[in-house]
Amino acid sequence: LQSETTRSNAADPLLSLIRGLGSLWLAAMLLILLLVAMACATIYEAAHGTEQAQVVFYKSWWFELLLWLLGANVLLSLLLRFPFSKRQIGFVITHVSILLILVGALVTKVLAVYGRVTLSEGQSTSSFFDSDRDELTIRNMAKNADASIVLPGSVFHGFKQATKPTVPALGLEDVHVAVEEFLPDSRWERTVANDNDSFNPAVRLTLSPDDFDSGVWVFPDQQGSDGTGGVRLSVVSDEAEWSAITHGETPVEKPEELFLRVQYKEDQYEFRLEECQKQPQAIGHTGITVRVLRYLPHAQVGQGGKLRNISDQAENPAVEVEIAAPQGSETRYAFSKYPEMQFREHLIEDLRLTFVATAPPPLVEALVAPFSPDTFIRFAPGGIQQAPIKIEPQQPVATPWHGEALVLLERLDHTSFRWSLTPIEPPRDTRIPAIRLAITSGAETANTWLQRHKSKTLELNSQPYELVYTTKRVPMDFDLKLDKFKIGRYPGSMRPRSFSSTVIMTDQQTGRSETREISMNRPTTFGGYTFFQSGYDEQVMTSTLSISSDPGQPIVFLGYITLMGGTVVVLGIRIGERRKGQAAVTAQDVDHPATARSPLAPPPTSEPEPQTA
Amino acid sequence: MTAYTVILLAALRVSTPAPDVPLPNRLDLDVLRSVPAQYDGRWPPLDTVARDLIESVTGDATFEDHDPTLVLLAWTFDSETWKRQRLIPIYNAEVRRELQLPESQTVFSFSDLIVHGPLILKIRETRSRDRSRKLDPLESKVLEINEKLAQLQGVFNNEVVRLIPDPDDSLAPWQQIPLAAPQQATDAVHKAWTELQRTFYENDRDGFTKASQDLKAALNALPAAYRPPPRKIATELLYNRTAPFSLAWYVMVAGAALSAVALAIRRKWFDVVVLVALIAGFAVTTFGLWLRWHIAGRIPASNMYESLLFLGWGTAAFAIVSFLAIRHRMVPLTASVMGALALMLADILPLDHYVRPIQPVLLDTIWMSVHVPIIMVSYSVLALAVLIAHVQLFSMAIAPNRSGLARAVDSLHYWYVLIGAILLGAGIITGSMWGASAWGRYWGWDPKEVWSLVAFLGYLAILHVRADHQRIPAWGYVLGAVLTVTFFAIVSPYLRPITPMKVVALLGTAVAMVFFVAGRGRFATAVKSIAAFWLIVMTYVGVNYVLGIGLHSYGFGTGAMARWMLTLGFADLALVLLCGLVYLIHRSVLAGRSPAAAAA
Repeated sequence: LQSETTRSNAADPLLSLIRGLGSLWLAAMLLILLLVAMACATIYEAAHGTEQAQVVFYKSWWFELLLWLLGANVLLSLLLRFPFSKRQIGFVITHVSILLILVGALVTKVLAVYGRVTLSEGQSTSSFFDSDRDELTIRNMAKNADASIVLPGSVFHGFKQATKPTVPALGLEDVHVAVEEFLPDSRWERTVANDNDSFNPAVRLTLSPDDFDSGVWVFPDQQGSDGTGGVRLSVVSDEAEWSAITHGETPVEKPEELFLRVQYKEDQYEFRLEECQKQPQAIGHTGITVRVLRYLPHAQVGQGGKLRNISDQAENPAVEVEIAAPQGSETRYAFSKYPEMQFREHLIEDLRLTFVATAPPPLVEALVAPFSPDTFIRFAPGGIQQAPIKIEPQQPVATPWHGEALVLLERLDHTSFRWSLTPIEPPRDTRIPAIRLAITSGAETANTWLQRHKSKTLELNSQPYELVYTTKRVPMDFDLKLDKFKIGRYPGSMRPRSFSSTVIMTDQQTGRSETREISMNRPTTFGGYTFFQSGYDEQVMTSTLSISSDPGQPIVFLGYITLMGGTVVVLGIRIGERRKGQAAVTAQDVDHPATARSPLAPPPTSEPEPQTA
Repeated sequence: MTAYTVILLAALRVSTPAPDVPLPNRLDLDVLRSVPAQYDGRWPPLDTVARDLIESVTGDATFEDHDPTLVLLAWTFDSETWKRQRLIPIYNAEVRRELQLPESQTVFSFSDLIVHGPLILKIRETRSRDRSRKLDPLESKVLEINEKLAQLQGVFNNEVVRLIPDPDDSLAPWQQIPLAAPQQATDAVHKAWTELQRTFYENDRDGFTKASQDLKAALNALPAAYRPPPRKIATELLYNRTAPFSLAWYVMVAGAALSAVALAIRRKWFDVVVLVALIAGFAVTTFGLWLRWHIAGRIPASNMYESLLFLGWGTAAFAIVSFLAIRHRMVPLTASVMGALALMLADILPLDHYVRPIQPVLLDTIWMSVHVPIIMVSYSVLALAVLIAHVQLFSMAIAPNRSGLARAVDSLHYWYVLIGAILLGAGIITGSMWGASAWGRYWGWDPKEVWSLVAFLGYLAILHVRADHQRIPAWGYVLGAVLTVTFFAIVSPYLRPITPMKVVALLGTAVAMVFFVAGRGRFATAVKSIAAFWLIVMTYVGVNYVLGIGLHSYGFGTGAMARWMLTLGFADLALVLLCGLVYLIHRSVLAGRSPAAAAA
């Protein structure tokens, strides 16, 4: 019988191939390959981060191919055993379930949308950011017309640099945008040149004389950034003042002043506090105004993240500022002691607020004048300014601090900056991808680099355009408003025990609204989307909700339930068989090699359910 | 940890010099022990606070065999003396060398360490490190020491023992009783507290008991927005006193001994004794879990310790059911050994034994009570399967011609693997559904989730190959080889840098892959079951301790766990190879003999 089967198989290689593709041994091979692939993926993930592991392993073509092969193997194994006998019910249910789960996963991959939205109390939105898709938008700011494309995942979620990646055509009127280059991770780097036409001084200083290469560049009006905290460059344009400095006179103290500094995109604006308190101040021609609602000399964060003033002493000066823009208004805080603390950008992006009090004199102050080649240094140990000292390039000057000497490495009088985008290899965990764009309108072409979550404005054929590269924004047909956000704590500690958001959903068509509560493990569904409590920021009392709409999930869940049911059936049949005392059958199973009566429908006795033996 | 396990550990550790400060030895602490405190997000009795603090600092709740409450009082009342006592163990010689601590000393005092420059520098450096980087073993050790110092300082400064309830807000922090009470202490609490200090110093038994009762009454008379019900306090004291999980593993060890006897004497009446022992072990574990559930107010399934308890419980539960169903004498033996092992590991490993506040995601959900027990019972069943697989290896290596025995063991093993795999599948499915309800994604490729699927696929492969009686055609081997080679060609560039170790690991993986698909028969199935169980071990502890990433890594350990895992894994591998070698030699001898026998 056995030799006959072999011959019949050999006679029809196609049947032999189909039986092989639906065979148990191929199933075992695929299971083992998937197993090893996933194990490797987690090891890779430990070293390179979750995002990269997803791209390199779980979402790669070959991993998907393995799953397709597994699906084909399961499907063929079912077809080959048709028509089914009674004792194969368990096998059929479990294997159909596996197919269901794979189909559900495929539906999820194609149709599911996952996103998130961060809201503070009282804020509302009618769209959210899709966490899996990036989008490139061009907008004609004069005509208020725009066009967008989704940047396809294969390249733009990748970790390899790409030149001329294929993207769908992006055009607005007669303007065409082409993506020339993609960098998985990038950083703007500044180089300093000395070719400015106007007087724009800069000094490079170091406190470690062994290290002549590095040092820090200090520019006028720059303080506290680049690790140069406490070092300042002052330009003296008054000749009398300069003469006092060159004669080594100790300066007189200036009265303290408070002002608000606003950085919007690349421009910077400063307003005195009193002006800002009186009336809203316009930020250039942007249409944005700022107004100080409250000044708190000694601010403290109280209940619910609200600021309150607890004394008149300037212990922790802060301001509450209302920023009004065409797209709406919002309120932010700024602390003079914590200039780096920037509250998350909600409505008005690219705007930085800093509240500046004329702080105590800088520890080190370099002094230059447009009419003099000399550089002076003034130290202020303990906040008390000493007399200025003349400093020569490359000549160490003793500081009031024990054992430290200051060296002026370089002085430039006509500084200009060049910014260039450099790739970072290997990409960081929290990377900033960038794309280089060529924008063509008629004969004119402009080239620009754009990092993710950034925008760029440019003029082409005397039309103003804005380019935005950011996460895709998905509109919803209802408004989502965060009414209240609550953090429950463990008794006697600050450790959160629970957090929940009360949201109000308002249908845009009917205007009907509904209040829902979302907390950890308690999502809510509205308008086709399910909302989950995913995170929060205690400092600013914002709540982050994740949003999903996944038509694949019910299919997968159905597969789960039938799979569990199927395994119970399999177990039941096995136990039943054992009860009947069919030890002989088991022995036969083990001892006899494969026998097959018909190549397409192998008899159940010789080939029992793959699930069991 | 109980006195019994202390004996066990004493063998491992360098002996601690006994403190020369005599503690009062005549005091009755029963009343004081039951005073409710607010501590670590709960309201446990003072006994628990003392046990937790003293165990976290010294590594042993019954420090020097003293009552924990007594030691806590001593630390509070007599902090100057206890600052100079050697309390903090640093057993690792390498760590001591790195921190420039004396080689010969293993236990250090608070004042030794708090002024030790190299340690303080290292602590500062570690705390200001780049947060995105993982801690190296020395750094995590240093942070551990820092944590102990901070806890001790808290006790010495009287900041930890908070007994005075808040009158208005049930969640507000409770207050501590100041050590130096006002001169004319009219307040009853202060008076009792001062009296307690005095009688403690004087070792005055009756006075101390009186002061404890006064203190308890005075605290009880204070207005409180919330105070734990006395029943709950009593439950927790009972739990602390009986240490049910330690008791459970002694019972199970006894059960294992009885099962071994049963296997030898083969008497029906003795099987009943074994069954009773098995049920006793199960009952004690269940009782412990029930107490702990009451104390925590949630299912005790939130961390490694609690899941180990469920592992022991699941083993016993499954063994009772299957012993009644299968009546095989191997069942109670393997179950008792495995259950005792799980509970003993829970008891003696340096795991956190205390009820802690847990992440919001684990709270207010039915899924934890469904998912964790299913997973743990499946691990128990698969652990039993791996024990049986070892038995199969030994018996087939030693007596390869006893095919009746081999068939019986194989059948038992098959049932365990089948049921374990079904439960594991159900566990993965419930976990996936939990994920969908908590985060919105039913599958997120989280390492823990991936590894449980890896283990599941391993067992599925075993079951499918076992059912396969079809010969693999020649082109099947070619297809397999092509798929495997292509796979390695794609994957290996990502595993750069390729070290010799990695080459060996990859080759080993390739061999294991071939063995998994092509290896058939009882011996091969047993070997595969052992390999698959190591995938479970990797899922259970390796993901947290070796990979240390992902959403499920709520607890984080050091390199010690990884080293242990590796050592045990290699020992098991050596054992399997040895058995395989003996088996092959035996078989070839038999094969050589049988034709001759036939001819004769």
